[in-house]
Amino acid sequence: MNNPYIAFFKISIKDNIAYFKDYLISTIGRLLTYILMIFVWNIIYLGGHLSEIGGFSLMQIDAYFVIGSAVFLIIDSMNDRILSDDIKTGNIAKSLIKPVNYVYMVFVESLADNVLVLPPVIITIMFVLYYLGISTSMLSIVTFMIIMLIGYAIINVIQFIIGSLAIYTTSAFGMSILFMNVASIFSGAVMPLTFFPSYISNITLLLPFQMFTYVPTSILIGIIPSSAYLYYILLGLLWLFALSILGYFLWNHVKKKISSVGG
Amino acid sequence: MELIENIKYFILCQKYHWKEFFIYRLQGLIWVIVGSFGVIFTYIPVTIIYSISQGIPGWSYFQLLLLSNTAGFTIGFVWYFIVPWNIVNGMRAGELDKYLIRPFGKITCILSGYPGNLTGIAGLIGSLLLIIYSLANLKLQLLSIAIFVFGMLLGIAALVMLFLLITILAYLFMNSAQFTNSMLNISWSANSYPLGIYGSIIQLIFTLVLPIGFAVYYPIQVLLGFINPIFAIISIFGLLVITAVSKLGFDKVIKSYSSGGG
Repeated sequence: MNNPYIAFFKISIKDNIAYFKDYLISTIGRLLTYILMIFVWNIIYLGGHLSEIGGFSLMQIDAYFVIGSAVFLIIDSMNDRILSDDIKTGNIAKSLIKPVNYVYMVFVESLADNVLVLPPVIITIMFVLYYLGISTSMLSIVTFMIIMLIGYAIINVIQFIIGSLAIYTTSAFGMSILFMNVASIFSGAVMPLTFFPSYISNITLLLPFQMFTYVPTSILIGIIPSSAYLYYILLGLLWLFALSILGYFLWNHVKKKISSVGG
Repeated sequence: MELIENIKYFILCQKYHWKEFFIYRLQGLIWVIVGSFGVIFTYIPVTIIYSISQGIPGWSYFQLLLLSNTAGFTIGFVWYFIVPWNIVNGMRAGELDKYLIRPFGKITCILSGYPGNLTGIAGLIGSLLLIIYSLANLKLQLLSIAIFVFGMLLGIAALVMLFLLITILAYLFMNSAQFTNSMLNISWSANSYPLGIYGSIIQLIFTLVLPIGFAVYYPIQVLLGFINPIFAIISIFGLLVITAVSKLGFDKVIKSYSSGGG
């Protein structure tokens, strides 16, 4: 018997491939935007004759921006938009009566979007590590993947919570963009968190956003020492647990409030 | 007279777009907060760069803040008038026809029919405040500032025309809005810092291929006294050429458009 989630995953992949041109332009555009920052930081390091800023050498900052932008591309989930659209259009009423778990279906659809980004991202990361001659241990690679998975799960849960809030605000698109803007600053996608003033970086290094870019990238390029790996894994799992509990109760509350258009 | 009628119609449509926007007050408020983040995106990196290093060689903190926010303000204004997705979706659905048959200019009809990024108004106000703050700290001559403001407004008009043309072309040849969208984002990011740091090829791209440099980088260089004032005239001439070529291009390509229905 076919698993409905796998079948839905395949359909979602096909659907995304149909818009491959848009996806490719968007991916390249976003990568280029971050890569431009390499020029900016190169001139800052070289012009100021600086060998290190915030624990990053010039080579590490170059690697950070390319790998960080690639990581942020993978992690970005879209389940908030899926859920929000379903609530807005009333499709959620049809979906909830189907003999499958609606929450899993949303995650599967979102996953299909991320899987498609995976090959160019892996190639980019491997190329940067090889080109810049950054040696990384097997432990770092494994921890990088674990943190990526935790980060991916956290962003999915947060975006699911945001999508659920559409029941109160009609559309969650605004909140979704707001969240991505906040996340891109506090995740370290705009610049490494250690560049921020200490009173801000001390706070951001406790928040879950760092799992989206700063922590995985810094682990891979050797900024975070191996002795701290376990701390970041546990911190990530703690946030994941706390946010999942919140998401679970919110979804159960929201489900009872759903009434489709005309009902 | 015709121009005045077009402007009146555009303003009237803007009024209704704003009314529609505020029907959902909570969403509207969230969107305004989202829009204000554009300013934070320019303010935080520039401020942090100058707090941990000597910054970009040859550029002081306020000079770079002025450049970043002028780029944000100019591109933000293009977004205010044009959201490529809205126009392309309208073209796909064949909706554009109903706007084009109205008794106004085709450009007025498109810009009035498809609301731009209204939420960006918070970002625009924020950018404007930071531009004023930077100018106040740079203590520049009033006449230079007046010429700069004129150049900036002309730059916005030229870029709106250019990106409208790119949006229509991207639909006709690629059936996509994402291309224009990405171009706008890259233009904003690149022009937030001095074009000179990217090397001659990228500088040339943003001067001749995607000529945002005429609207942002070169006018600011003239204002700050980095290059000969003659470049102010060259920039204004460049912007007039962009506007004219975009208008001619638009008139030509809009004739090739046929709606989704046939």
